[in-house]
Amino acid sequence: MHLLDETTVVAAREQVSCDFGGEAAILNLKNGIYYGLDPVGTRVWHLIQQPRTFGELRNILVSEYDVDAARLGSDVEDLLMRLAENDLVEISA
Amino acid sequence: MKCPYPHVYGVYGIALHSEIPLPLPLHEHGELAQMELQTAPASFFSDAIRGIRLQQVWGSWYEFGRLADRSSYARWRTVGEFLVFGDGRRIVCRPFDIATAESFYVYLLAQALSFALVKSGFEPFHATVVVVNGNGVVFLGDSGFGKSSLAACFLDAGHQMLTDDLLLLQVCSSRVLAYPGPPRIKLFAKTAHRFLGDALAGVRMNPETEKLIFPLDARRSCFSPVPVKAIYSLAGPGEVVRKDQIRSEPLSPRQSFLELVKNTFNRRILDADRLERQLHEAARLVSLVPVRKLWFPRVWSQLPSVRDAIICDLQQVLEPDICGG
Repeated sequence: MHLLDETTVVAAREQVSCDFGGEAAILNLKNGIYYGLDPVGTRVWHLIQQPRTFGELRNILVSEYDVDAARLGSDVEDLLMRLAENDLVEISA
Repeated sequence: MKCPYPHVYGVYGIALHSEIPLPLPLHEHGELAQMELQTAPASFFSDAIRGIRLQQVWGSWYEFGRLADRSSYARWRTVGEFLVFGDGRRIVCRPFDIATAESFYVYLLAQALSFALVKSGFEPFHATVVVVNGNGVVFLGDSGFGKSSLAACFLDAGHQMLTDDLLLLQVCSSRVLAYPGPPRIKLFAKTAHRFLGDALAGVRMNPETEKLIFPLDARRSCFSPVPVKAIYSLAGPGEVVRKDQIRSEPLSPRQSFLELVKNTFNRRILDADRLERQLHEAARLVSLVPVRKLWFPRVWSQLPSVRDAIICDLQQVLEPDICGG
């Protein structure tokens, strides 16, 4: 599955998280498992606390990080898919 | 609160109104909560768990069940059985005939009481705490990591024990207070002999372990809450070899958080409310208390050096202004 620019992503409801100086810990309340995010992942996590399209998310991050847009899009997509596999984000077309 | 029970003890900051005498100091002032402890015959427990399928960890002698009214039932085969009411305010207990009183008290005042604490909204930790210059020094780590042996070494140098096994922390005016547990320590006989001398007699904790329970007198126990100076997460014996140096390093906030969460007490209550509270509590503590990882070789003769290194650490690393470090 690939994310389209208009695909909407948002953090799932059954989780709680906290930020430790730019690194986040997320607790999935369904299974009690903790997940950790590095600073860039944490920035993504903050952005998807409200629904955003994948295109919007990518544009915000491209403006904030000095990185190739295609590479960033691919990395963010990977991250979102992994978060979705662990029921931490909801993805809707 | 009007209570029909003849004894009122203080433990972990809780006023425990008990039907039976316990090896605890009498409750004197202030409390975080009030709880009641009563005994009941076998028929009470068999009625309570009728139709309940008890869970058992493979190879364990511990069984657990959750009742429809949110009460929790737990029993240890050679010790006793316990029912903790859903609101955490009342514990009903029954020692089994073959249990020693000391063993029963250990399971009552740690494992069973942990259910009541969690149900009452507290977040207990699996830790041992010694008191150094009026401050609590917390040791976190799995069973067998050396928390109690290290604490015994501190006792040998004249410091006091605050709690061994279960720790209750509370934030008070941006300080973190650690509350005193039962005045006892669990040690292997050789460790006790080395650090506590021959005068103390221990009672075996349970048939599955050689660890003994040693009561501690008032000289060796602290009965008041103390502010926490630092938390040390002990590296496991498998992470250290004999020739390794003693060292400690600060953990990042996220690592500190994970160490605290890993060492919460009672992993049977896992509802979303408790998990969420656990996350927020651990995150808050990390922002208030330094957490360090401690590596040391598991060699008895080195434990006094580990103790001295921790005391030096407390002065030089955690109070650099005072020591000019």
